[in-house]
Amino acid sequence: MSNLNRFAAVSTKALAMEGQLLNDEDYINLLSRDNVSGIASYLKNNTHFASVLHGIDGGSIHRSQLEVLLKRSHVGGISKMVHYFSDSYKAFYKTMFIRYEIEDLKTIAKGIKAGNDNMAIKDSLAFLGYFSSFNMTGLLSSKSLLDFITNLKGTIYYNYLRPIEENRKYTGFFNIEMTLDLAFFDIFYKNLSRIDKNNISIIKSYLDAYVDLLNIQWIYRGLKFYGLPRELLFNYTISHGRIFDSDYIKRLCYSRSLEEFREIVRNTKYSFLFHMESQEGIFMERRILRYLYYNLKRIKVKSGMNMSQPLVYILLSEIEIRDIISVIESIRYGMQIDEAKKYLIRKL
Amino acid sequence: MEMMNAIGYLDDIDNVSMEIVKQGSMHIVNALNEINQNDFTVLMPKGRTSSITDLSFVRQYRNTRDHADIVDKAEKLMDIFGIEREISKKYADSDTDHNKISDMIRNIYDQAAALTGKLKEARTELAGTKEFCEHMRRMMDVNIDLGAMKDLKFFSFRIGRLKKENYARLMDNIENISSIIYRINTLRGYEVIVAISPKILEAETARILSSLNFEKIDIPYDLTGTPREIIEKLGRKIDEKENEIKDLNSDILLLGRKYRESVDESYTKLKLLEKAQDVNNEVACTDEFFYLAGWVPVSEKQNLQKRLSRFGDRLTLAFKPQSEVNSSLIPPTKLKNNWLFRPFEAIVRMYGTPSYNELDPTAFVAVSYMIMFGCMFGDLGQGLIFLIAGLLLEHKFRHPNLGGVLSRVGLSSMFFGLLFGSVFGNENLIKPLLFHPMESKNINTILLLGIVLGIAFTTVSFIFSLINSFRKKDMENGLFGKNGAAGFVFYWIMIITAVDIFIKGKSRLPIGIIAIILFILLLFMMIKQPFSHIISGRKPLYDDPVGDYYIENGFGAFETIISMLSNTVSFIRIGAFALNHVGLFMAFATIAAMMSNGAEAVFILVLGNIVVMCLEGMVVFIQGLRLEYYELFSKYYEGKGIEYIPVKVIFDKTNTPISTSER
Repeated sequence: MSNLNRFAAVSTKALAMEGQLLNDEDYINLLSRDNVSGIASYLKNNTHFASVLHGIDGGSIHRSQLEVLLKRSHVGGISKMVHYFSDSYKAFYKTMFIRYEIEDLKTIAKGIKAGNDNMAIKDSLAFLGYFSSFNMTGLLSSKSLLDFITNLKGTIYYNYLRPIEENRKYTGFFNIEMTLDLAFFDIFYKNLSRIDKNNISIIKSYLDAYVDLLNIQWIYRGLKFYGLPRELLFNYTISHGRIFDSDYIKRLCYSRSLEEFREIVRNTKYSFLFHMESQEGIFMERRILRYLYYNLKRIKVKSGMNMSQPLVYILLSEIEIRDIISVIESIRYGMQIDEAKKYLIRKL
Repeated sequence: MEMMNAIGYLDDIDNVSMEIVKQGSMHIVNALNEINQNDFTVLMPKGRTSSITDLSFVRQYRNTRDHADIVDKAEKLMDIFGIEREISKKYADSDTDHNKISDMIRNIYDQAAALTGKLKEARTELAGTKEFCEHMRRMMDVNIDLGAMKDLKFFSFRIGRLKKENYARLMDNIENISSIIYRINTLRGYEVIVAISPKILEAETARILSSLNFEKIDIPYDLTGTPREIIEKLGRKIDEKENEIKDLNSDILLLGRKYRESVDESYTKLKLLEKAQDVNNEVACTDEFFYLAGWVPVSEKQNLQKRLSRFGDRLTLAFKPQSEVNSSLIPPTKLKNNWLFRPFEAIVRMYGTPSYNELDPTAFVAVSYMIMFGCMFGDLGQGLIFLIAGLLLEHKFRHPNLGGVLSRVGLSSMFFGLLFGSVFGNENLIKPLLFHPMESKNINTILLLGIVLGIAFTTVSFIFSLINSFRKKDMENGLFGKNGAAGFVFYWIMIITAVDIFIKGKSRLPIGIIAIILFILLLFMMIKQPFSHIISGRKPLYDDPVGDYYIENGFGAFETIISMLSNTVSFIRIGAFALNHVGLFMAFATIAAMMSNGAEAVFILVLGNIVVMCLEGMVVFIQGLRLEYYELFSKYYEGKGIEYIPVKVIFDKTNTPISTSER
């Protein structure tokens, strides 16, 4: 199947869906709403979220309800695109769902740790089931970590979590969360390797940059906030497909101070992360996502018909969901519009 | 076919259903439907009036017992014991109560499950032990007591495994790791390592290792000693385990032998009971009685009555011939054809099952299809291949329909191959009994032959149509319809006239008179409905609004003329494909002649035969079907019947559990 056959339809679809995403004006309007209901109504009446928000009553919707619907809309969009692919490409795109399933699994794990009744949050789990089939009752009624892991038998996650089951003493939620995150990249890259090399090379630079930035973000947080031993920092970095090799990552992990860390990064193409001193932690995520967006856009323009267009849409859709949730948060905390704008990934 | 209605005590329902299944000839219908349509015959046995009064409270029977679980257990047992799953006739009539069967199966299953459980455990242990031996073998030159290592005061000692990537990660940062890591083995994507670290750094080491998802491997049976000694000790343990496994296996074997008969019998009875549920699902009931209905072929009636007589007074039967049953209930059609024609039932069924009162067209389809196929595909050698392939499919690979049709048309092709003198495409090997179709003087003949066949078949179709109309007492279409007598006469007049003009130059009657006769016939076809209604005295005269009727039938009359022409000419394709067959091969023959050496030529000829057989075979198959369905069936065949599917099991000596139809 030539690239034209394979990608023409889905690229068109992705472009069409991209055209439906919110624009600057929409965001300004959203920011001027007073409350969650206002946002819900606006989204329902003026945007592509109309179908997802179809049955709800704008007046009585709760924040978490709205968030779940938005998230489901996002994954639904990816679902639509998966239909256009076959064999190894389909498998590859489907792994994206894993990332979202893992988010939900982490939520459940956190609930177990806090001793919450997870059954109650069943409806706010937006992503479970898009890739794997779960024993939902078992999972949600687990009271211990061991239960949690055992109830994941039969899913792809079990293989990664099984050793934790046996290391009873050091079973930690932290370990589970990190293992799941790393598991995603393992599976992701395994599926990536099955795709035509030519097509991979085009998006590889994007993916590698993504991994690099995640690693930098992780190490930064580990150094600044978590106070983790350096070896652990190192062990939890993503090893697949990164541009910076393990020596480089080691240097970052073992930097004697945060300033040294920044210096190292400033000497790379990721220097934009630490250009401005103020609030670098909070804005790091925004900077990363913006960088990725421009990176992907460049690839799209340069190489014609390839797999980048759907990825662009997926990234943009994710950015959109995050931004809308940011808007909701800012309204909840009574932030001024100008202040709230700063937290959006989109440059308004 | 006769309709049988039965009333009995609800407690007996399973037994009655099983007898019906064993007898295997009843086509069950939903009793509740029958009762609701007031069609349920009740012969009142003396003093059983309560079963009739109950009819007003009747409901659909629901089977509450769950058989699936027990059947599942029985099947698992048969797998464990290595018994073939057979439904044996010898157990069919045994008296064992099915409650006892459930208990027995459960009992045996528990015993077997216990044994297989232990077996599984033992096997896992054995595998683990053997694997550990492998690790130890890699460490054979290490002369340290591993047990002592575990008890060191200042150092901790672990054996375990890491995923390959995680091991690489560990090694990447080894200079910062607070342990000595010694790799002893690699297997299946894992690295097996030994980690020794100072006890004061134990917490850190543990964290680091768990962050890499380190899986600890314990020394089996808590053995101590140097690797060499451990291997020896493990060797003994391995022998022990293997003996244990052997014992368990023979225990299972003994258990199997002991209960083999019982399990066999239970399986048969359970499968019968399972099938009986198919009957029960269509049964209506009240709290005390059940009501059952179904069609039974007249030939099987006595047999069934005899079987059900064992219930004596507890069961009441009533039989009604089809004529007395409500006309909305259609009896299923049981096709009875001889061995030669039977595969063609599938071809008829593809269009539709014959309605109950219709003539079974299978014989006609068989003969006509074979002739058409043979004529279009006439070749001795290729026909032989089809014959052989068909026989293989039919008997060896169990495709009696496809194989049957293939072998029969193969035979026919062989016959026509002799007539046309064609062997594997070669026209020079034998002399044709009739003629070579492709010779220029014969081309018109063969085309004409096609048409002649067409006329013959169409005539037979007309006759069928007349017979079917008579059976249905349909005067309107039978006498005056375009597929009835009027159409038939019209058709033949046109043919005779055409032949006359063609051969003699003029028709035997003045053309004017012929035209008038044809016109009158067309008129009849147009007014068939009101006319037949007048004759039979039926009111109203028109079933549809008058205007609609005449528009429809006016066009219908016009269409009659055109379709008669086109249908007849359509059969020319028989001749055309006969020529096609020869022509296609000629292309290959020409290429073969161009080849420089004999081997290449032979190769091309073989290739040509294969291509022709596949391509032409498929085309001719489809064209034949088209002629059957469109030109012939549309004249006489309704195909609105219900297939006769009796509820039964097939008792077998092979490894197939259950088959539910006569196919």
